[in-house]
Amino acid sequence: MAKYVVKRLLLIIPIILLVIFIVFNILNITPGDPATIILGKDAPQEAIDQLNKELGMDKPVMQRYLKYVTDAAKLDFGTSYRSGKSVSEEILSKFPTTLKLAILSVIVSSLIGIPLGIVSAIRQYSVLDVTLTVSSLFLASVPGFWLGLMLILIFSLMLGLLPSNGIGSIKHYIMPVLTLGLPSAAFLARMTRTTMLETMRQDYIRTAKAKGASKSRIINKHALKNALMPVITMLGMSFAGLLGGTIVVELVFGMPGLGSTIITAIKMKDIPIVMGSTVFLSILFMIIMLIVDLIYAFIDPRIKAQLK
Amino acid sequence: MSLLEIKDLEIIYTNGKNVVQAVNGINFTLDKKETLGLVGETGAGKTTTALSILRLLPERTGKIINGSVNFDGIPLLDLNEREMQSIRGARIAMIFQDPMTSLNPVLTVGEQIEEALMLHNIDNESKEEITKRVDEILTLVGINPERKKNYPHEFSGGMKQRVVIAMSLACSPELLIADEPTTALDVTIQAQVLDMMEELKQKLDMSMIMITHDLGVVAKTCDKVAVLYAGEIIEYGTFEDFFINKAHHPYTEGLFGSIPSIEDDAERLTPIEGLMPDPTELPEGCKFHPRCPKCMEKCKTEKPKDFIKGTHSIKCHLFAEEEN
Repeated sequence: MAKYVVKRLLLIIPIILLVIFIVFNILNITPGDPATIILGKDAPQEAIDQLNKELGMDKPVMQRYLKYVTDAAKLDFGTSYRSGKSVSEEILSKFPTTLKLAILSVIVSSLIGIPLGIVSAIRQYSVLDVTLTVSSLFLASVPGFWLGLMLILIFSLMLGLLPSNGIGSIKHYIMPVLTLGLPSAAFLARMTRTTMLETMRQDYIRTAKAKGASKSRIINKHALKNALMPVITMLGMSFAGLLGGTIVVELVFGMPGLGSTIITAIKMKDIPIVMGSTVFLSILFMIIMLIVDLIYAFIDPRIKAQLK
Repeated sequence: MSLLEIKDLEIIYTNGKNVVQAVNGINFTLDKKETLGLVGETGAGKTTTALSILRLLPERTGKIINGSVNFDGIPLLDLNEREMQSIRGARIAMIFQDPMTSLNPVLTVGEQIEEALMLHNIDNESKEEITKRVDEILTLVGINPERKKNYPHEFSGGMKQRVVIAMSLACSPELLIADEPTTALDVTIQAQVLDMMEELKQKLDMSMIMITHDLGVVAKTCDKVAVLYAGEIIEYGTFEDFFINKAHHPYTEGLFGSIPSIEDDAERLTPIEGLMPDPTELPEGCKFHPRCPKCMEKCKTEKPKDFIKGTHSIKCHLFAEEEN
């Protein structure tokens, strides 16, 4: 197992090199150079050329790529063109907000989604099941910004219960987390229901029934572990996705997180920030996927056997 | 009194629109220590009949619309779910067709056998005693008890079926229903498993219902045979009635005829022509008449009765004529 983990961690290196290469080239072929954006269109050409030279933009792309990679290996990701702060500092100051949002959303969505999905499967076609199906379809199809605005309308403007903006207290996180968590809970509930129904149709469930096991025992002991495996993958993916993708919610609720930082950086052609966050999120994504695989192995002995 | 008595059993599957008449009035009895073979093609209603005894038909679609199942004097169809649970696994156990899928992949085989014992722990045995029982049962089916810590995927097909058998025998049931226990296994393993089941049956004084489409298996294991066609028993009798007696239902003759013989120099097998009728639209009269080589006018309109001679009963007009 330890060997497998080391192997997977080492595999991150070539993948990251490739990711950096691709992003580097994409940034290179997009129009506009950083100096023009920093100094403005009306700045004299000499000043722009001068700044571009200072930023190293006059060198060929491969050379810049190699320099970036060697610097990154020393954990130096450069400084932001805009703020002049180091990239690591910039990312690490914004990341906690996003991380909190992502963790809370995943917790909320699994606490709501998984139990509802299970109940829905056990009571297939009941009133509860139909209600859940309809409401999850609704939640899964409304766009995040709309849900966020509706929550603000109800809880901030009409009821005055929750702050609409900022990150001061835990109260500030309630609506953003619901905005992210509810649609995700809806997806999870649908998925749990499907995999649960699928599992309940398996032969080994019939075997357990033939042994004389009660319905609740069959669900808890025989079905859940098998049914939740695809759900865990989905949770891992959505967690990883949330880390880089809470932009809409960050904008709607005025939260200074990583998502809005990346968007601004792309607009401003702040290359070091874009590169730095890409590398950071890619590594994070791969580590989360590794953890998901390890959880898998923990649950399913067949996968554990493969990891040896 | 017989151990199991099934009367006029009728079962349908329905999805709201279509109605599949899976079992259409089945009667049979099984005495203590007897083995009954249920023989028939795929879709004849063998498994449905077996599942209905344990009340394990698919909840939403399968319905028992008529008949009774009496087990040791208990009307099984009238029991509530909790009473039924105390019978399943304890007094009536079932072995399913495919050992590859009938064990839970995430539990060790030891846990799965142990569960059967824990669920019906009437004598309040301690954890150690149950563990000892698991070891005994595994030894009984020829598996090293040390392997109880292994998961199903670490066993071969034949070994898995042994585990399934061990699990079903854990509580020494009075009746064992074996639904094609050897179909998914290769021929050499088949023989081993059948021998083992026969031996255990003697040792534990069980009755058994052996569901199969293999007449070889029937010849090897059964005291009584029931041939099912389109949800009806078309021929029913003792081992002698089938394998010594010459009078048979044309369908049974077809089954015997389709077995390849070692001596004959035949180029092709002789199958029964045609297919089983669509169970949503069963034919009028005798259900076998569209495929029957000896079909008469009468067969197309009039349902044949059971013509009984001693222990042997045949549902066919041919024998009515003989009687007259």
